[in-house]
Amino acid sequence: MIREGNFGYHEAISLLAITILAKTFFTSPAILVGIVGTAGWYMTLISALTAMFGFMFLYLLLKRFPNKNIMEIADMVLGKLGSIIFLFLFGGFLLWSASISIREFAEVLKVYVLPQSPPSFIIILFLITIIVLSFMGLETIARFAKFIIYILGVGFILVFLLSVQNIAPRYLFPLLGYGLDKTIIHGLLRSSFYGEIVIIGVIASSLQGYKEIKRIGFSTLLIAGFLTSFSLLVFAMIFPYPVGQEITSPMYEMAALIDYGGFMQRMEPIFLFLWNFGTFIEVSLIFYATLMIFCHAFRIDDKRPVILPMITTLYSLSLIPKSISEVTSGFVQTLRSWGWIVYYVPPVIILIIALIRKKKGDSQNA
Amino acid sequence: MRKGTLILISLLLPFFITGCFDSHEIGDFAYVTAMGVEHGISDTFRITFQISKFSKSSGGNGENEGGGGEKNEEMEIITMDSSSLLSAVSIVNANISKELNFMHLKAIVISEELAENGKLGECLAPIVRYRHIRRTTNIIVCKGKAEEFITALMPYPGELITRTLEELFEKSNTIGYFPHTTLNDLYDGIKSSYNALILTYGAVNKEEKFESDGEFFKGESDVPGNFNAGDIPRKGGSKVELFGSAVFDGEKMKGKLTGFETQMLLLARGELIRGPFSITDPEKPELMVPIDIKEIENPEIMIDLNEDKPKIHVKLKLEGDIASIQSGINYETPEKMTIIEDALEQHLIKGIEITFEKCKEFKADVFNFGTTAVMQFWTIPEWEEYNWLGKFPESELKVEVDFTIRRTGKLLKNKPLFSLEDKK
Repeated sequence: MIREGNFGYHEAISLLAITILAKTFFTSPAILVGIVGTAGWYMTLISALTAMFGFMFLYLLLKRFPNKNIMEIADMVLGKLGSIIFLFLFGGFLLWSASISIREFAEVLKVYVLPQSPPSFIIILFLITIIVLSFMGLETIARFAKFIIYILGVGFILVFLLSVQNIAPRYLFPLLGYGLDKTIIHGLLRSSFYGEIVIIGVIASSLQGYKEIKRIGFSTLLIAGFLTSFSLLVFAMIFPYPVGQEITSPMYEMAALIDYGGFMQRMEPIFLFLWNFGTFIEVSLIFYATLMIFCHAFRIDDKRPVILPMITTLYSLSLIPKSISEVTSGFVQTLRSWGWIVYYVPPVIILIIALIRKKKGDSQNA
Repeated sequence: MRKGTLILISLLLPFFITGCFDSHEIGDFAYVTAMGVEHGISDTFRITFQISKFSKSSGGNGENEGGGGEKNEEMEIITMDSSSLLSAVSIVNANISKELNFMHLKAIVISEELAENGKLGECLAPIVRYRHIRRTTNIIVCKGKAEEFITALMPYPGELITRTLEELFEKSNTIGYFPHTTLNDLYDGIKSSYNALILTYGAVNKEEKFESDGEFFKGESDVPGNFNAGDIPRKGGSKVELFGSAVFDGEKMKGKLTGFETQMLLLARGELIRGPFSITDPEKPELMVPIDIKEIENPEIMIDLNEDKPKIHVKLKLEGDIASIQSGINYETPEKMTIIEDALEQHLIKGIEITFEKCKEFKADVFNFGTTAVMQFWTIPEWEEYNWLGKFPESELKVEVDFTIRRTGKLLKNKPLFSLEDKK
């Protein structure tokens, strides 16, 4: 049987921050420029604030039911059938989002680095790592995230520092992009970008109580919001808005543009490192959260027999999109624009039902 | 048992993934270092590949071996007519034992004719999609045939062609006679609503402008660098030269700026770190005073959009050192120094204004003034509706230059020349 284990503040923040930030490496920044133009860097701050608002309800729910995770709370509040329906939908959604992340990763990797390799080959290699990490358990994934975040941080800073030579601050103008109204509307909708923060509800039992959860949640959103905004700001200063919206992986191109003469150029390998490890953590966490949800819903104590079948499902789902266009403009776009319904609304509904039905957990100090 | 199985799997796994689909040996490729594109005869485009063979000299003596021995570079030129780059690459690949690889491509050369016919969007812009070609690849518009240019492109003796090209382009911001432009600049330039595109202009110098015989030159010298590549009166050295720039409106080449005009342009854009300038001696117009100048602050640009015509005001702050005084006049004294300072200021103001007028004729804001004008707009639709590039030809420019001479070289003052003829 896999033990979930316990981990602390730093591990949880590393895990969640990497999971959220990994998405900036793919096609999202370009799509964002197409929607809000030059305003993407502060639009994401609106999204982060909205995500904080959404997270607040989850926190209130977890506070009401101390030492319980979202699955246990759903059981108590929604009843057996209601809980299964909710967990099935939520777990299915997470599995679908993991499949999109994998496919997006495979497609972008194929475009830039491995053009001859079939997507299935890339995805299988990727999934082998996820399988290994899943067998190790949540605590191992979290501790690996804490270990790798320092290396990723150095790489991240290095890529941005070296990109200074290509920065033109005037590309940030016109400041309001395609209009303030569009920026605000899409800022609210795209709070889904930070939606993985709700996974904190799934792994709540491994954390040290609701006060710690509050600290972890808000700190993660602040860090992820700031770093995403910073990445988009640098990106907007390097690629003018007509060009920025066309690029498959703006961050990769940004690293490829670094050129300080014969001895300091071709810096993409640094980016590739960030990219690969960031995505490993992202998909591992989402997959493991899904695994926990399904095992809870079907009352399976030992997760190990479920890992391989679920990986197979993940693999099959990731091969559904026909092309990169379908992934980026269809699936990813839908996920970013409407994912908030699945991420933030259920905790609000559960909280309201809990209040109506006067359901409450045991006191934490009891 | 479990640990043993895991170790065994870990040890065996690498053997299954070593020959992944994208694994290649370095020797599998033929590295294209320069590529030319021009109008084709039997198909749309004529594409020329310069393939360099990087290998150590086989005849090196013992001392050279293992100690960075002399490099022997052989070139192969392949030219073919094709409808696109990808078709050309696949056909060439079918006929050579290696596979063409563009990871070390340093320059793409477009013929002037192709650029004038507005084919950039068709032939070059799509290349950014091609994963092998980096956005940092340098772009040159060449006089005459691109094929001829590529054939004449040779490395500096003892160097690799890649290094020669890298070093050549780096000269741009210290000399300023040509801009350093890349595929990224090209793509941004043709899509931009802020500014127009400018590219490096190059040519094969056939030494036609160099006159070996004739009478000695008399009269006032022209402004140094006031010509384009291919017209430099020189002999020897590299056959290929980069000088001046090609100006575009969208994807269509509208004209050329000379080396001097390009210097003026880069100065106004704040991209010329330092550069050599020569002004006519204010007191002896047949002689020159060469000065090394340095831009100490970014140009201050103000644009008034309140009236029909945009009014642009540029302020430059420069300092410099006198490199030589041919006339021997004692310009080093504080009273006389201001004469040189004023003369240089006027020289630069006139130069920038002439260049600006020329760019207005081309309807191309290569000065990047649009990147300042855009700061007065709140939203992209407002900015695009204003249509800066359409307004640019109506704009008016006022230039202010503040130049200070800091040093006078290795001489503090000039004593008159002594000759018997003068004594008489």
